[in-house]
Amino acid sequence: MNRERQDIDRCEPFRSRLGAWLDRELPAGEQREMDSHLSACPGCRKVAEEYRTMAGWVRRSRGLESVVPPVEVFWQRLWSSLPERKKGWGFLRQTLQQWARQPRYQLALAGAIVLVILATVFLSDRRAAVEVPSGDATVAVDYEPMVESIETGVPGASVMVYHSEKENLTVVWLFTENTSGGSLPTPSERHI
Amino acid sequence: MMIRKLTVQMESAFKVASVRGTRVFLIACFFAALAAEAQAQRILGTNVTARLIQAKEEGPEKVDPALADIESKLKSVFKYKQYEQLSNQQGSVSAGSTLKFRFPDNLVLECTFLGGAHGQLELALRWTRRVPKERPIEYFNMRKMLKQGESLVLGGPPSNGGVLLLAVTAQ
Repeated sequence: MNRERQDIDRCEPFRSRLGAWLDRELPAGEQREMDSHLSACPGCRKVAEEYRTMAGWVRRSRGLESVVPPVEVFWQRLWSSLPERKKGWGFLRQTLQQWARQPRYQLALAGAIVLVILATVFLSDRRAAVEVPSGDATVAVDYEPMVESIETGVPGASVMVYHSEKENLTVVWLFTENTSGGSLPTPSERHI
Repeated sequence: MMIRKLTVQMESAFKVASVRGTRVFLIACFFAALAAEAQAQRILGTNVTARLIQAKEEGPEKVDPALADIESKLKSVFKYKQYEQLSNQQGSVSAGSTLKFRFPDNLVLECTFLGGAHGQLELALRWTRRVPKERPIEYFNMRKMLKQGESLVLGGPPSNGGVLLLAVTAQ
């Protein structure tokens, strides 16, 4: 019983990496280490064979409804690696380095970065697109001068806006109580 | 045994996800190129020119030679007889920042460039007059979309028997 327990403890680190070994995704050193262990351990070799056989079934069937989401694989791998590593920054760095070596994580990270950039650019551009009137339709109307907001702090004053498409000119005029009588500024009568 | 089966299935799922990830990545790259093109159309900074002008109805016709480039525009809209440029200031401003022009007689124009794209610029303008020991008089506080080359004239405040005009352009 004790001997069996020792075997399990000895083989467990290797068995947890069998999947990666089958896919040739381990670093060269670990791959060699796995090779030598498997050549010496009939138990692990048998398990590896079973893995290989079942992997073939899955590849043939590809029944996606029975496939577990990848995030669970991630957590399983993370938890299975916990006893082998020290916790803390060293562990985090080691785990990240291990991920960084794997193409699928590199790909996922690159994709995530691109998506974040895209989302940022498109959202900010969308904001601009909403605020920018779409040219001709707005500009064609003479009394659509595209002043988005206007206010004055002069008591009793009013504001008038005029746009001349021909001159490419917008005039914003302040009428105050002082200037609304005889001294009213007199812009051209044909325009304002 | 069940755990092993599960692990193998997970490995397989990862491969499927990896293939999908590649496709998503390629599509994302395509859209990133489009986004870069859209980004290139955006205007990140602009040069603003602000000219303070005094216009008068009375007296002989007289236009300051410094206003020669906008004389026709002014005359097409207003019928003042005299135009004198009191100050001409320029400055560059980046998106989201504010440029402050200080003119004679405690007049201040704060110009904030809010951003722009496709040849149009959005500005927030605040024209005030500082009065010692009193609250400043705010003539205008406005937001305006300016097309490329469009002139904006703010006017109306009385001054020395005439009125003040503030001509703003952004390039």
